[in-house]
Amino acid sequence: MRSLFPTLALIVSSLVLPARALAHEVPCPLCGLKVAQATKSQDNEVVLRFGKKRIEYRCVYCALADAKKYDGDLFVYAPSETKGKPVILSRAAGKWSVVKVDGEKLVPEEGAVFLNAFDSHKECAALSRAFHTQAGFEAYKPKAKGARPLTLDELLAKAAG
Amino acid sequence: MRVPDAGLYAGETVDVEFRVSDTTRKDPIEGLAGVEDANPAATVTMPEMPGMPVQRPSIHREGVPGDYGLELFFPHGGTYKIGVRLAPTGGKPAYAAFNVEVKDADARPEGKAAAPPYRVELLGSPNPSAGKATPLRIAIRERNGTIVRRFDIAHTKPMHLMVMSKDLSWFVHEHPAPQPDGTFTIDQTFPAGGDYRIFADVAPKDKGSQVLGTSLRVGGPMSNRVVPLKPSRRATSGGIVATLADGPLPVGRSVPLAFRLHDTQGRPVTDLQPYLGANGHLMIVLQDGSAFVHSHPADGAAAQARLQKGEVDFNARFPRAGTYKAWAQFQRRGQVVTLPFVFRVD
Repeated sequence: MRSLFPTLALIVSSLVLPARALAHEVPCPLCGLKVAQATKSQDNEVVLRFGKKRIEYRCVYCALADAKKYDGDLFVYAPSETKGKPVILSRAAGKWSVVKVDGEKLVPEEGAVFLNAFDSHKECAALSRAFHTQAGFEAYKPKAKGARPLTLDELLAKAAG
Repeated sequence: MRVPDAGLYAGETVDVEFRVSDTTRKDPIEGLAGVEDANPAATVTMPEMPGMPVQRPSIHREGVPGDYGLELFFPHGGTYKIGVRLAPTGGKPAYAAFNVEVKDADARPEGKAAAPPYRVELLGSPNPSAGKATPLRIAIRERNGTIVRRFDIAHTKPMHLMVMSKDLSWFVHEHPAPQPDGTFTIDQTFPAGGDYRIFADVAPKDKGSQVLGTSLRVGGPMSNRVVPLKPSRRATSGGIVATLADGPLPVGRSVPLAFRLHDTQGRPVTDLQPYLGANGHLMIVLQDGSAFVHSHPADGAAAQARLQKGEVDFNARFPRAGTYKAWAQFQRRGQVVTLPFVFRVD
């Protein structure tokens, strides 16, 4: 593996959040509930990237619903079944798609599915999530009894409703 | 380094994010690719407060690969240095340091902060009487009530306890004994009945310095010697005449407090001895007890040279205006000398 040093650059910058940059205490700008932090076993934060703005949400549903207030292209990082490997949703020219980073480019990602099965919004962090694969969804399914995997269009329809 | 638009404030637990990027790899969204396995570790110190215990905050991954969050608590305002050490998997270590300005808690525009992460508690409902030694059992509790059991040593002790009468006419600086269950014990004798303020200066393991206050009512006859605080920048005790330099003391920024020490013959005192790991201790409290500062002299060659001329400089930052009382403590010829001062901060 090539060395990251000396070209590894540490860029420390506090990120722009809607209120203060206090991720632990900042409520989700859509639902008002606390943004759940990543745990040892899974990522939880959803991040919307709009220009230089980064906004943290409690779930994918919240990010997609709130994205309507931003005109222009944006990205949503959705926690997935693999820590450190979020599913990336792209909205370009008003059209949503799932993309992945391939070198210095973004390319379409096939096979991503979504879970959006909360009854009470308190459950949204656990039950509105993304998966790179159907297998990832199936492994998570015990936490969401009876849920079926959604396509991106199905998830968008729920968020729009 | 960019800080949040609203700034950082003392007295609140904050989560400040940072990003570790690899400049050799571009990212079509973020510009530079994030380093997911940077394995960062951080330290937080206050360069102006020598000897202050190091804070080693927890770090967690954020939602974007390469983004990390530092869980910080700033006990008071001032300039803090955040050092971030990286041990990227397969790469060589790297280090960067950043200074951040933290405003005083009172400057927060959004009202009071959440409850502080620690509190001090006197266990067992002590019922002290004036003139009698009263056993005090002291616990430092986390927000959830758990008693803190592990502390860093600050100036040779895990706890510095400052006890003072409400009118600030009486003061002691003690060091309760740590117990296996995490509590601290000390037998304390109070000179008169009335209310007393108690400040515990502790450093829960890796969490940095915390000054935590409580109060205690002592039974018995009240003191007759209630003395209104009158500004006084000169004090004499134990053969030392100490003078605090004139000059305005502003609110909300770090200012030097320069003391000149002479003996009663007018000769500079040049034979101070280290006391509790420092050349002096300065404890300052706002008249109403709502603010407390524990400061120590600067070290280094320049400070040592000044010390040889009988001059000792402390740094302090006053969070609000008002009349403050300070006690400077120095050790000379094996004796600890306590010198009281009163001054205005505007």
